[in-house]
Amino acid sequence: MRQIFSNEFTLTKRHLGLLFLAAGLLVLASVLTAEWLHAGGFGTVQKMGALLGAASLLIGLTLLPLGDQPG
Amino acid sequence: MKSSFTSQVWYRSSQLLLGAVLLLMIGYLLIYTVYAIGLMRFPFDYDQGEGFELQDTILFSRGEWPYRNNEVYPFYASNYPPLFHVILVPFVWFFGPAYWYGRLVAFIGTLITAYAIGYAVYRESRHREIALLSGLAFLASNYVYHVGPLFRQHMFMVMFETLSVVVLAQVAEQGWPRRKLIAGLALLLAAGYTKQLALATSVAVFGFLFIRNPRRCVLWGIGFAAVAGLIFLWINTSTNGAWWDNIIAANVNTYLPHQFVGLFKQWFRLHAVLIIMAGILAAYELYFARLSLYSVWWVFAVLNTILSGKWGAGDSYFATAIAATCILAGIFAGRMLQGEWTFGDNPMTRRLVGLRQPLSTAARFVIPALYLIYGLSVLHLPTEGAVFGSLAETLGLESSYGDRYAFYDSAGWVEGYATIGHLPTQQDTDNGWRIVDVLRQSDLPAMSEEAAFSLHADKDVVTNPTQLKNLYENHMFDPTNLVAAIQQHDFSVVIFRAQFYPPPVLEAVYEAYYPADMIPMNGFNYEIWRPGPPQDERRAFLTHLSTSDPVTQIFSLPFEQAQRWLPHALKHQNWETQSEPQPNDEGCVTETYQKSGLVLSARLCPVAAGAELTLEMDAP
Repeated sequence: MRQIFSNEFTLTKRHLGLLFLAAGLLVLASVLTAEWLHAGGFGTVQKMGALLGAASLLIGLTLLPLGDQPG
Repeated sequence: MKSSFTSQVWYRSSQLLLGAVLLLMIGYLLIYTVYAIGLMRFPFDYDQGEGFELQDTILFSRGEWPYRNNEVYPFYASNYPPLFHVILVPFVWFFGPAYWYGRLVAFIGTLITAYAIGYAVYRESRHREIALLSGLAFLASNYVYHVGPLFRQHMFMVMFETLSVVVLAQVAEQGWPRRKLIAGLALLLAAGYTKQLALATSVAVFGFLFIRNPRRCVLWGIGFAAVAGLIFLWINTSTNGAWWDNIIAANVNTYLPHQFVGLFKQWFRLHAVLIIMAGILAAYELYFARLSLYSVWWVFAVLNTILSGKWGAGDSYFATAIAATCILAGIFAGRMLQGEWTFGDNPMTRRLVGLRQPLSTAARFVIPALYLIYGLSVLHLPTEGAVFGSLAETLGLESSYGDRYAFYDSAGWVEGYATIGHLPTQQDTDNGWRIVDVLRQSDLPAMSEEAAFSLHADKDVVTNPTQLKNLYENHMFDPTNLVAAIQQHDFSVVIFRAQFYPPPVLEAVYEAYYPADMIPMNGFNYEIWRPGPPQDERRAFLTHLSTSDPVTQIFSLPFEQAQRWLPHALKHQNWETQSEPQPNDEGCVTETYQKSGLVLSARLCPVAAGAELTLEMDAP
């Protein structure tokens, strides 16, 4: 943690990948929760959310192998 | 020798193509300038809501807040932050209320944005022509064109956002200079206090700072939030909470997903080549280089266009995304031409090194060609006038809006897209003054859906319709006082353009006023609604309608006006006209109506006091 808050620390591609993964999971979870709470069909907003969530997951996964390269 | 000649021809041809594209973009700049001047000369609302921004400016010039209680006279409050209006205050002091300076400042704001885009591209690519093209491409967009020179704060927000991003883009590489950080974040704050939509750019900026150095992001973020929060609290306290109600709560509108989808498809279709170039550069930075602020901003700006699906939002919500797209596309184009791509050293990328020169050579043609495609896809121009009329005829273009107004727009129309862009005519101006004359006939204020008529007639600006509608739909506006004022004819006339009032307010107008005249202006019909009979006479009339016995009632309304009011009043009670008006020798007029199997005969006669109405009801 101390390292993260140093003046020299910068996020790496792996960190970015993890952030994208987390964001994608969060969006997908929100979409599914919305569907569970308001079971009125998978609407346009949910489709957009699902698409964004999936894209974010995909980007996150492909960034992980890039390791410690600066983000 | 032959190879040298071929490359000379190739080089010259590509330069010619680039020159042609630059000429096309300069042509768009000229059209945009003519349009802006045309709007500055027009003294009325061109786009709905401009007059209310002028009213906000006037209130600030008097040292008053426009964030106030909507439930008391004049039932007016603003839903926009103050900066754009505050900047315009000196103009009110020197020139009085007028539209031209708001439009001039907004127009200059778009030119500054275009310059900032060009500067950013030049700083990254060192390619003058591409930098120029990038700035001009922003102004050539259909969306920027028709929103740019309006008396609206939106494009001023985009200017502050762009300037902020351009100032902050290189802070990490430059060793985090304090002055630049302060300047960039001050511009970001200015964007937020010009329009709330700048929140996405704030998230993008701090997201970028976080990627580059979380510690500095947190420290500067705390400072930024403290300053922004203190200003927010100060205004909210000064306005007794009206700031929160009008700026935040009133902006929670109905969301129309199909509106966003339609606008997004239209935006993509018009700007496709720039978007693709921007997307490739963002992907390159994500996987092969470091993410720049421009890429982070672009992603958030595009995501933020989702808000264009809100009721009352529209294509202007894409302006920030267009600015970011133009910067990224320009940097991409510059790098293609200069061959400035760097990839990590591996067997795959070593093979690509050999492709660098051929790619750069091909780019000399491909890049200008892409901008040419963009230039042709955003085609728009007025189709009337000495120059534009001939040009449109030569190009075989006709107005996209038929007889309504003379303007060709390749964008087509989708829900949420503003149908403007034409030049107002002298007839529009004359008709605007006709409406002002209507207001001047009485000492009472008017309830107008646009502020210009009241301002020119030197009367109070009463109501901000869409704001009242938003608040009503969020259960934050009690229309009782306004409805009572309408019922007792506190307003000389009601001017409608789109009837964007809360339903109870509209219902009160339908009951107490009647449509007396319609004056076209700018392709829209402005309805002049005049007062019907006084409230007690209207109540008695409704009681008579529910009885089957013949009944006679005297109205204080003059006969000619009563003749126009009666059909409207009966239609409002769902009575359908059955016969044409039948005049007799005494000057009376009889008309029959029907509803639910009942037939109503209504005879209206002129009398000294006004008009005498006799109602007789029969089964058919």
